[in-house]
Amino acid sequence: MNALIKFMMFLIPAGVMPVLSGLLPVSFLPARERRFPLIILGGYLSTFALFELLGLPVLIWTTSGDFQLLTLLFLCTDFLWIAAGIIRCRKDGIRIPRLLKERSIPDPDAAVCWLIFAVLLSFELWMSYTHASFDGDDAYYVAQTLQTWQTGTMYYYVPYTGFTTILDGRHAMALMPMWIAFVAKLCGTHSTIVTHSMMPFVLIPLTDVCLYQCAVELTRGQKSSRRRYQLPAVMVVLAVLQIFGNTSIYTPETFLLMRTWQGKSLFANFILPMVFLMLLRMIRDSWEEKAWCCVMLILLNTAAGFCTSLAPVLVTGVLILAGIIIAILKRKKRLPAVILLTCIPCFLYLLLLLRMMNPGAVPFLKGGRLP
Amino acid sequence: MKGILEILNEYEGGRLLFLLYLLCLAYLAKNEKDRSRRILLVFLPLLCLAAFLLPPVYWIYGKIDGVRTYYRLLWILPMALTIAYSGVKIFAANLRTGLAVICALVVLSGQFVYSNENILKAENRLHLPQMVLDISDFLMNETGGEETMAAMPVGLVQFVRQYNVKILMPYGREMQMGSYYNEVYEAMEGTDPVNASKLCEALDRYDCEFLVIEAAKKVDGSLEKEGLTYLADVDGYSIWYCPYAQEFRDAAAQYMD
Repeated sequence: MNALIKFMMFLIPAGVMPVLSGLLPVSFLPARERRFPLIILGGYLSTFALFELLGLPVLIWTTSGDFQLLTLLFLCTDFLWIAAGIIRCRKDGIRIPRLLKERSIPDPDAAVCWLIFAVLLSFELWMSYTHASFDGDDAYYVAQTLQTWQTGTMYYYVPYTGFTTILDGRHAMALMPMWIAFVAKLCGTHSTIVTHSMMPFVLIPLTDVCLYQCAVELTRGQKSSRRRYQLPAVMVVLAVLQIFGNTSIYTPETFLLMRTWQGKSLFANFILPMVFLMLLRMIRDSWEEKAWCCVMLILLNTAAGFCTSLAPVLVTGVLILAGIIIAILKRKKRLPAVILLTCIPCFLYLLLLLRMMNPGAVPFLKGGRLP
Repeated sequence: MKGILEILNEYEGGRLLFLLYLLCLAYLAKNEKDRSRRILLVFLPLLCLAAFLLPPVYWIYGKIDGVRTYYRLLWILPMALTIAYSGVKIFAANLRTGLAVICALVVLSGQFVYSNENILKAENRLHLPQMVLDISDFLMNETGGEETMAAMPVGLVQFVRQYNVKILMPYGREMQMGSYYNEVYEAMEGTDPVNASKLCEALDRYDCEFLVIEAAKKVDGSLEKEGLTYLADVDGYSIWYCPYAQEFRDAAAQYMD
């Protein structure tokens, strides 16, 4: 019973707050396009981006990385963000899922497919709760989270031994372990329980929501009777691929189910599919969606650094490359410039990373815990 | 080029999933009519794959992040989406049979993730070995919840500080990752049997308050004669108290007074 209450408490900062945060980005879409999956995706992107934006200055310019200050700052900003979203969506509302509106299942075959998918997803979640996957990198990330949770400092101690140390810039700039510590702090549960037992309940479905939205875009334009069946069929294949995708320890599927809580997994299974999704939306070139696309791309580029320090390089690279290809093949001359502008957060992140790795290269950034 | 192909081979793990992806890619290249989807599912991945195979890209990446993580460039390829989408496209007319065929192909060309040797039934909600929790709780009980320094066997170091960061260690997981030198590590793991006097000297130098050592481990000499106090056996590990650290703490406390 106690565990169930703790789990419900966990869902507030890790589920409810991020989803509500999605109201603001989705408010840039016309009311009929404000679908629930887009709210979820925009919400998590907003949460990760905000946490990264607020976290980096606190990490660098407070003595030992003041976690309490970051918690307060993030809570206030996120509540403002949610309030702004509610105000903007209040007038036109959001689109209610068809299943809730019609209260019937129109296609039995599709229903069976959705049921198979639900069973596969439940199996993944059940296994993630009842089975432990041991990974050496947890000695760094999970201990770092616990250190923050127990001591209120960020990246102040060597996680392996506990001795104090200088700021490990390359790892410290990706703040996902600190967000998990934040969630653990708010729900009052040992951060390692949150990391290993609870986070998969949020992050695995989040990946599936993202993939579902990609599938929606890929099957767009098909006959609705056919599409109704194709969508769950794609999801079933994707779930089977996740469960049987362990061809080596390097695949995104292996990361998703064995290292769910690590930033690398979030990058491979959420950020990169989001890049693909945004490219699919942008290529449609709907004038009604331009503002939303820009907002989402800025959030996406900011959230990339939250996962791993390599993410901004790859995200920027793929976006620019795709922008150039689309510009050439679809004659959209302005697209690369727009993409380049939305990549500014990544460029700033890389500048800071360069300063961390090679202090002489960026002499104008000084002070705090910078080397 | 050899290094790149080795990475690709390791990523594929001797299975056929990557080949299945390439077949789906080829199918889409031939049959996908929608230009936008062709760009994102065919042209962009092909360009990324070509970039991955280019030695200069490999060299530059190696300079930035080290070639150990070069496989991450392959994450850019939307493999899962391409296989799933082209699968339902191929079998659009008879999706019920098609779905079974695609799933069977994936199962045959992939590998069940939960058969991985690193996945075991969880012993607790922390997903850490229970013995680590028992040993850590014993140490915290001894110190009254105060911070302490304990030397642990190399098999436990990666877990201890995921449970309690009040336990400091003279060495941690870094010893398993590279050729670092640590005196306590050398004394604990370098020789078999363990040299008691060498180990105690090292523990003294690192102000270790506790020594946790496999109960079955052979020791050359006597830890007791070297000044250590035996406390208990917990889950197959012997826990010893080292009085030197207390002497150091007393001296430090006196100095602070």
